[in-house]
Amino acid sequence: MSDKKNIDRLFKEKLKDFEATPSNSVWENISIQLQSIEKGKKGIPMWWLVAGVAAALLLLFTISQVVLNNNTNPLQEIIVDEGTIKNSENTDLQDAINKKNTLSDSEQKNVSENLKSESSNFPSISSTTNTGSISAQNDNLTKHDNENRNVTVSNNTQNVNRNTYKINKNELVKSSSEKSKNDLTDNTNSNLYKDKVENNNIDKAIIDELLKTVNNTSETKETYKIASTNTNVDENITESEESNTITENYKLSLTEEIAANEDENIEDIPKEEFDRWSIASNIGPVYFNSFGNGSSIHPQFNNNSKTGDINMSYGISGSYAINKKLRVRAGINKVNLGYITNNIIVNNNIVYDNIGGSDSPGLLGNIKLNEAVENISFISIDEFNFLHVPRILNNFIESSIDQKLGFIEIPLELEYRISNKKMGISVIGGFSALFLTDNEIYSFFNGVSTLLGEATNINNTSFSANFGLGFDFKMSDKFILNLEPIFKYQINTFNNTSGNFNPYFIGIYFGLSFKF
Amino acid sequence: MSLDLLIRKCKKNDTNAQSEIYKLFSSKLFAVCLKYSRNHVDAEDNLQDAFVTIFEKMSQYGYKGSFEGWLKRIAVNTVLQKYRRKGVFNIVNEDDIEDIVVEVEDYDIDINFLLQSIQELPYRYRLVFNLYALDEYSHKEIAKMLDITTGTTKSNLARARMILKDKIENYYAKLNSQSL
Repeated sequence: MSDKKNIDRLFKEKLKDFEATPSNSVWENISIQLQSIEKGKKGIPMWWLVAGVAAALLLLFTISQVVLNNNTNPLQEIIVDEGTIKNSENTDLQDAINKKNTLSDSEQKNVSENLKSESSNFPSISSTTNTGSISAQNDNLTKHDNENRNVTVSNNTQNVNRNTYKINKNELVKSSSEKSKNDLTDNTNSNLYKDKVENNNIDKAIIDELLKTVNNTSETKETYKIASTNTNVDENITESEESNTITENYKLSLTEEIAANEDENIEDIPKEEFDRWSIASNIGPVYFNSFGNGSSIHPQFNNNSKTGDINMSYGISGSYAINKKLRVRAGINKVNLGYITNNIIVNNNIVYDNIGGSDSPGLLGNIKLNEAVENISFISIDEFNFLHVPRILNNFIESSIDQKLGFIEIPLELEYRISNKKMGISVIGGFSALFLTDNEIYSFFNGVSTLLGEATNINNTSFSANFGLGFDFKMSDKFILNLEPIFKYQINTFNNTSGNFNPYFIGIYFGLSFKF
Repeated sequence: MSLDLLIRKCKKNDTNAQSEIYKLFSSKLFAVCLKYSRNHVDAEDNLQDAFVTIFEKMSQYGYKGSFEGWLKRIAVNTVLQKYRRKGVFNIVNEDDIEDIVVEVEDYDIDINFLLQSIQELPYRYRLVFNLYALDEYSHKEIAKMLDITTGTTKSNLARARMILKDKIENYYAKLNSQSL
C-alpha cells in the first residue's frame, strides 16, 4: 500500500506526464506581441526616417542661417550705404533749396526766373498761389524745415512768382525730407547707425562731387534722378539747382545739415539686431532630497536619516529671445534621481504579521517586491525595539533602502538677463513636466546592492517648479558657455507619502549653446 | 500537417502555423512553467514570454534533437533569464549541507498538491529542485546556470527536499486526521 520513496523520484514520476491548459488570453497576448514585433521591425525605419528628416531640417536650417547671415551682411551694408547716400543727397537737395532762400535778392531773382519758366510744368502747383495754401502746406512740414518755413513765409510777401516757386520748393522739401525720413525708418539694420556715422564723412566728399557734376554735366543729372526716386519733382530740383552756383557758404551749411542729420539718426535708428534663436546641450550633476521628515516608502521611516543621491542629468534645449532681456526656452532632459533611507533592518523569511493590520511595518505598501525577494521584510530600527527581539535576532541585517528614479524632463522656462556683459547673468524661472521612465528600489547590504522591486506610488507624469540662475560666458559671437544652478521643487511626483515628504532636486547644469 | 512543415512555416512567420504549434505544445510547456514559477499567473506570464522567444528564434532551430526538448529548454531559460535579470537576494545562513537522501511515503498523493508545494518553495530552491530532480541537470550545470557554486546548489537542493518532506508529512497528517 505504501512504501518509502526517494522524494525526487516521487515528484518526477508524479509530474512526468503532467499537462495543463493555459487560459485563452495567453495566446491572444502572444499573437499581439508577435504582431507588434513584426510592426516594430517595419516601424523602426519609419521612426528613424521621421527623426532623420527632423534632424536634417534642423541642421539645414542652422547651416543656412549661418551661411545666409554671412552672405547678407555685405549686401545689407551696400543697401545701407545707398540709403545713406540717398538720404544725404536728399538733405543736400533740401539744403540747396534752403540755401536758395537765403541767397541774395539778385540770385533769388535768377532762381525765380528759372523757376518761373519751369513752374509752368506744374499747373496744379502754380494755381495754388495763395498764402493760405502755403501755410497749410507748411504746417505739414517737419520740424526739420522750420527755418525754411519762416523764410518761405517772408519771401511769400515779396513775390507771387516766388510764392509759386516756394510752393514748389516746400513740396519738394517736404517730399525730400519725408523721403529721407522714410529711408531712415526703412533701414532698420543694426549697422545703419554705425555705417551712417562713418559714411557721413565720405558722403560729404561724394555730395560735393555729385553737386559739381550736377553743375557741369547733364548726364549726371540722369544718375541723380535715378538715385533719388522722386521722379518729376526731383528732376525739377536738379534742374533748378543746375542754374545755381554753389557757394562756399552752401558747403558749410551742408556740413551743418549732416551734423543735424546725425543727431536725428541717433533718435530714429531702431535697436540693434541680434541672434534670436539658440540651441544648447547641457549636462550636470543633480542632487535629490526632500524637505521635512517624511518618507515616500512607509510612515515608519519618517524619522530615519535619508541621504540624497547625486546623479546625472543631460539634455538639449532650444530658446528664442523675445527681446534682448527675455528669452523663452524649452528642451528635453534625461534626469536620474535617487535617495537612500538609512537604518532599516532587512529580514529574510520573517513576516511581521503578529503586528497586525495592513499597515504592518514589515510590509511596505508602496513597494511591489520582485518574485526573487518576496520573502524579505523591512523594519525601521526605531520600530525594531518594540518587537519580539529573540525571534528574529539570528536573521537581521542592518541595511538601507535605495530608491532610484529616472525621468524624461520637458522644461519650459523664461530667462531674464540682468547683466549683459561678456559674462552674462540671468534669472531663470519656469516649470518642467516629468515623465517617469525608471523606477527601482534597491536594498544595500553586505556591500551588495540588490534590486527589490519598484515603488507603486510614483505618478507617471508629474511637474516641478524651477528657479535658478544662469551664468554665461561668450566664447565667440555664436558660441556661449553656460553654467546654471537650478532648484526644482517637485509637484505631484509621489502619492501616498507620509510625514512631510516634499521632494526637490538641484542641478548644476553645464552647457554649450549656439546662437543663430 | 506534419510537424516539420509546421516548423518550416513558422520560420516564415506564418501566423496559422504559429497558432498550430501553440496548440500542440502549450499544455506541455505550461506544465514546465507551472513547476518553475511561484503561481499560476506568473506561469502564464512565463509561458507567454517563452512562446514569443520561441517564435522569434524559430529560424535558429536546426532540427537537432527533439523539437519538444528545444521548446522546453527555451521555457526553462525564459524563467532563468528573469531570475538572472532580477538578481537574487542573498539568502542568509547558507551553510553547506550534505547531500541528503530524503524519503517519503507514497500514498495516492494529489498532483496539484505536489505542484503547489514546489511553487511555494523559495525562488532559488524551486529552480534548483526543478532542474536537478525533475529535469536531471547536474549540480555543475545548475551552478553555471544560476551563477552560484555547486556547494550552494547542493545546499539549496537539500533544503528544498526538507521543506517538501515537511509539507508532504503535514499533508498526510491532515489526511489521517480527516479520515479518523
